[in-house]
Amino acid sequence: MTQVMEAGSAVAPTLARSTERTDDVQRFEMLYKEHFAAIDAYARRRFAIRSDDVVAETFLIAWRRLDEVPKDALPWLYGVARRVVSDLRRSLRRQDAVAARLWTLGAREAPSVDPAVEPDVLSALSRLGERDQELLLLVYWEDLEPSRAARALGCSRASVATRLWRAHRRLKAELDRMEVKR
Amino acid sequence: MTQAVTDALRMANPVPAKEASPDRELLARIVELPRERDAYNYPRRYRRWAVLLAALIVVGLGISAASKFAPRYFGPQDSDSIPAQALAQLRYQPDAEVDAAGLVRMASFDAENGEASIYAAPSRSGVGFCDLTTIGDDLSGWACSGDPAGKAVPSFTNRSSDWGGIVVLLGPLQAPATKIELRFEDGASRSASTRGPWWVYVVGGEETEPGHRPVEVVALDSAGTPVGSERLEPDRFSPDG
Repeated sequence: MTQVMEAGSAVAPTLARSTERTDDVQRFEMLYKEHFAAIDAYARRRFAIRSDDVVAETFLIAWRRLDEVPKDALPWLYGVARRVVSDLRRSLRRQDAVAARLWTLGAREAPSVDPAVEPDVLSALSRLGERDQELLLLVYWEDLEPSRAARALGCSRASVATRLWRAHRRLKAELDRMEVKR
Repeated sequence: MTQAVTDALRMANPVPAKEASPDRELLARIVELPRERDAYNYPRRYRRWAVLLAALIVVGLGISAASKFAPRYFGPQDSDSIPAQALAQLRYQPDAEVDAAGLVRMASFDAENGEASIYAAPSRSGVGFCDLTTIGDDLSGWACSGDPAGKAVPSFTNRSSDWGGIVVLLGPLQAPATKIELRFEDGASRSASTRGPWWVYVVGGEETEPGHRPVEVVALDSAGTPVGSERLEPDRFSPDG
């Protein structure tokens, strides 16, 4: 009798874990299929030469922290992807000349942009702080509503509204300054 | 902002469409990996307290760690190999140039998200060198250098947002050098740890503060005679460097 109970108690948790894992895989697959294109596009916009790594690392983190992924997953995924990009860029800043060649193996080429359109606005954008840039791009490139951009950035909706207004103003000022210099 | 500027920003989007189809191979690779799961699913109402308690513990540990910065260095007697999980994660990055067979643990320290371990390795191409970082059993990152020819003391610096300002300097020992020393802004001089053909120095604590940061790395031969040196940019070791 004791043996049967021991066997039962040993088997039951294993079955429970197996079922849980199947549920996890199904849930993750849905998440992955629904948001892959958005995260891939985000990665290519922010860090084209390492976009594959950004996508893989972002979804790997999502898999490991599946319990934390909210129902509206996309802002959360953008938040993860932003930190992944930031970490990869930091790694790239290993300044020594020795470390110049790497990272490009197997990576995609940076996507081309319309030369007639982008230089001024991208140049002005690059002069803004990282937080301003990210907010503007989440709203105008990723098409996130400010409330969802707030979730991606981990701040309040009110704070994002103010920051967005300031970022607009700074971008406009940079564009005006570039215009004056010509 | 005028509509024209908003439109220009939208038009400058280099990847206007979200059109990529899911990479099924990547999906399969990810779900093969184990997931971290809480041992017990606490009811939601307790989670906030659990998170608060954990945060207090982390802050306490962080303060304690900051006040007692003490990296651990490893020599030939170290028998621990790289965690199997980290190796599996490395294999899942096919473009990684790290020669996994040659990985050697050089140092470890307490990071904000667990124990960070630094490994050195040759590159698969045979040119340059690589480093790899794990946090606990997980691969955290890797990088490989180009050809170090022409550098008196080849090295690269490594930092992460999760390391609380700690910066790692790592490189190969080039003959005739057998020892590496770091010189600091305050005139101090400290030896790097060496293991086989590699050296490492973990910069942290006071050494990241202006006036105390590294300024030079010097290679010495077995007689203690300098055989090469490279200047280091101190700002690189500041927390926001």
